[in-house]
Amino acid sequence: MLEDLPAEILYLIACHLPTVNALVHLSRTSRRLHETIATDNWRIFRAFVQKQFPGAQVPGFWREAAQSLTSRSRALDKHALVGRFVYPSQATRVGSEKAIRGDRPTLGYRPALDTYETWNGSTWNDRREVLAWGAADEIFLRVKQTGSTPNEQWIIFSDLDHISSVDDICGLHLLRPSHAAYEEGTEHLIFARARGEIHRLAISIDEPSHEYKQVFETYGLGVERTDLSTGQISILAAHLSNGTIALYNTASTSQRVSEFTRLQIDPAKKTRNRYSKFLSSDLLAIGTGRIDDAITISSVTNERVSQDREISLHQVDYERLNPSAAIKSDVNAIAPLSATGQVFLAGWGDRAVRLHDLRSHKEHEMIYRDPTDDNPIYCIHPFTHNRFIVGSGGEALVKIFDLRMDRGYSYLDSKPSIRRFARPPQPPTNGGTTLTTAATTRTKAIDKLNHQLHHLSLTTTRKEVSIYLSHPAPTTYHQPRNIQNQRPYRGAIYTMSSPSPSSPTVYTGVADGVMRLDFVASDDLLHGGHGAWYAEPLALTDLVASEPHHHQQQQQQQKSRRRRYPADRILGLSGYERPDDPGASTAVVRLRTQQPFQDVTDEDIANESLTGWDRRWTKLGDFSSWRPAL
Amino acid sequence: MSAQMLTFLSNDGVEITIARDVAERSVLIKNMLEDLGDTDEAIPIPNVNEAVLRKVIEWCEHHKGDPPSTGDDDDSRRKTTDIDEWDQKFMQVDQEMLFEIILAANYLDIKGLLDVGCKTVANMIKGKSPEEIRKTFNIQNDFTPEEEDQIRRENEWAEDR
Repeated sequence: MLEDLPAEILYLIACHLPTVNALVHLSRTSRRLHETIATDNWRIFRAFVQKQFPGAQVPGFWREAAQSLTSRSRALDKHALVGRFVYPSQATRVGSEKAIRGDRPTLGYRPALDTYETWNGSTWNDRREVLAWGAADEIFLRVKQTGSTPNEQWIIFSDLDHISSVDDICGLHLLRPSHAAYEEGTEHLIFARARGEIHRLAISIDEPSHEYKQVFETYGLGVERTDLSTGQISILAAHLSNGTIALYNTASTSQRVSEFTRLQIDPAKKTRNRYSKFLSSDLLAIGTGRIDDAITISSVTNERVSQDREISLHQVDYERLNPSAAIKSDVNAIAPLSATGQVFLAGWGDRAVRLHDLRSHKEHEMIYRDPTDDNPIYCIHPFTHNRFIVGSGGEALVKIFDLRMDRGYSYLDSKPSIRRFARPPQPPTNGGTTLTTAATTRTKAIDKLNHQLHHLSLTTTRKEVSIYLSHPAPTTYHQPRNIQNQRPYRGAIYTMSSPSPSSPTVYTGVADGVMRLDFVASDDLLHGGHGAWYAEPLALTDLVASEPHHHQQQQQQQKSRRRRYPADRILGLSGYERPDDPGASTAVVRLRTQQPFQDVTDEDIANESLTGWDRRWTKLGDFSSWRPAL
Repeated sequence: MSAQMLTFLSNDGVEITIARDVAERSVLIKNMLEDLGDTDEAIPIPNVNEAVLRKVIEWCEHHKGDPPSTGDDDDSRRKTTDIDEWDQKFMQVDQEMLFEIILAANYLDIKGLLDVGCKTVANMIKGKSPEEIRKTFNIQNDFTPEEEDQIRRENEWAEDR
C-alpha cells in the first residue's frame, strides 16, 4: 500500500502536495513516511518552494524558505501588515553638517529609494540588508545585519552648505554584489540631483567616510529621474529635463562617463518622454506620452539601441475618463513581472494597470482597475509571485492586487474545503484554436459552479484591500506629544522597493519619509514557538518579548511609549476591501482600522477565523473618525 | 500502410497486441524498440500483470495524440493538483490498482501517467489530518507518544499554511 511504495515515488507524490501543512501531516503518520519526507533535512521543501513559488530567489535553507514564503502568503491573505516609519534614532554624518536651505519648498521631498539584502550566514535570518533613500539633498543609508550577530548602522550623507530644491535627489541606486564596482564593506550608490549632477559615490560603512568615484555627464541639463538595469552590464538611464534619455555604461572605469547614446525626441512627434524603466538587463520600456506608441520597448545591446515593439493607446481598451477632454497618454509606472522582462505591468492614464506580454500578439492581456480611487498611478511594485502593489497619486493609498494568472500557492488549500470540479482541458491559448460551443458552455457551467462553491466554502469572500498610509512623516526621532495636532498625510505614494523577492517588507516612499510595511500575521509573531524567528529580522522583538500574559509589564511599556513617541513606533493604519465588481461603485465599503497589538481581545481572535482579517483589524464603529488616531 | 502492431506479454502470461504509436508513450518501450529493431515476437513486460497492463494501455490509447511533454514549465502554470476529467474517471480504481498503475508507469517510464497517479494520491492526502491520512491509507502509527509530540512541535509553524 502507500507505505510500501519506493521512496522515490513517495517523494514524487509529496512533490504534488500543494501546502506545507499537507507535507507535514503526511510525515506525521508513520516512521517510514517521516523518514522519506523529512530526509536530508527536508530536502522536499526545495521542490515545494521551486514549484509553489516560481521565481523566488532564495538561498539553500529550504525549510526556512518554505516557512517564510508560506507565512508571507498567509499574512497577505489575512491583510496582516505592520506599518512603521523608518527613521534613525542616531546616525553618523559624513560629508558636512546640515545644510542651510535657501528656499521654502511647497511640497515635501520625494524619496528616491533602493534596498537589497544578501544572505551571509548559515540560517535564513543571517542577512545583511542595505536601505538608502534620498531625503531632499541628503542620503539616508542604513546597513542592518540580522541573525546571529545583529547590528544596525545609520549614515547620513550630505556635502552641500546651501541648498534649494534643485539639489533634491531624484534618483538613487545601490550597486548590488553582481556589479563590477561592488566592494565588501563599502556601499556604492549612483545618485542624481535635479540640477543635473549624477555621481557614483562610495560610502565605507565601518569607518564612515565618503568618496566620489565617477561623474556621469549631463552637459548642463537637469535630471528628472533615473533607472539602473541589473545584470552584468549595468546601464544607467537618465531622464533629462529636455525630455531626452541618456544611457550610460556604469561598468566603465573612467572617472567621467559620457552617455553612449541618447534617445532623442522625434521632432514630428512633439511630446517628451515621460517615463522609462528597464524590464530586464537589456530591455528598456519608455512611456512616451504619445498616443500611437504610448509604450515603446527597445533592446540595448553592446551600446546600441533598437526599438522592438510599440504599444498603442488605441489597442488597449483605453477608458476615456472625460470624453470631451483630449486623451492624455500617461504611462507613469512600469514594472517587470518576469526576469526576462517579457511580461510587465504598466499603469496607464485611465487609472488602469495593464498586464502586457511581449511574447503575445495582443497589446495587453489583463486589466486591473480600482473603482474606488480616481487618482493617477504613481508606482507599481510586484510583490510575491501572484500579487502587485500600486501606489496611488493621492490620499496616501496603497492598493494590493491579485494577479490570478497563476494561482500558485494559496494557504487556503491547506484547509479542508469543498471539492472543486475540474474544468475540461483547455486548448493552448497561443495556438489560435477555439473552444467548441458545447465545451465553452460546459466550462462556463463548471466555472459558475466552482464560483458558487468558492463563496459557499468561505465565510469570507477574498477580496483585495487598499490601505491608507495617512500618518505624516516624522522629522525627528523623538516626536512631540502634541502630535495629534498634525494633519494626516493625504499625498502620493511615490516609490516602493523590497530588499529581495522573498522579503515580507515593502519600503514605501511618501512625502518627506519612508514607511515600511511588513506583511506578517499577528498570530505568527505572538503565538507558537516561532515568534522570535519572525520578529527578529523585522525588528519586532520587543513585541514578542511582551506576550499577552505579561500584562503589567506590557502596560508599563505602553506608557513609556506614550511618553517617548519614537518615530519608528508601530502605527495604526486604516484600510478597506475593494468591491470586486467594477460597476459596483455604490457598494458599501467598510472601513477598518488597526488596533495596537496589546489591545487585541479574545473576541478579535475569534473574529479572525470568521472574517479572515488579521486580529489587529477592527471594524470602525459608527461616527468614529477613521483617519489615524495618533 | 496500416499502423504497425506489437505484441506484449504480461508477467502472468497474457499476450496483448497494440499499435506501436500507443506503445511508444512508454519511453522504456520506445528505447527498447530503437535498440531492438523490428520484431514479431511478443515482448515480455516482467513487472506488470495483465489487468494493470490493460489499464496502462487504456491510458496510452486515450493520450496517444497528446503533444510530447515539454517539461515542468507548463505544469507549474497550472494548479498542481488539477487533473483533467477523463483522467479523474480513469483513476477511480481501488487503492491497490492505483499504486500498481503508478509503479507500472514508473517502470515503463510514462511521465504523464506517473504524474496523474501521483497527483491522485496527493489529492487524497491534502486537507487531511495525520489521523485521517492514516485511516485513508490504512497506515499503522508506529511512533512513540514522545516522538509524535516532538515532531508535532517541530512542525507547529506549518499548521494552517
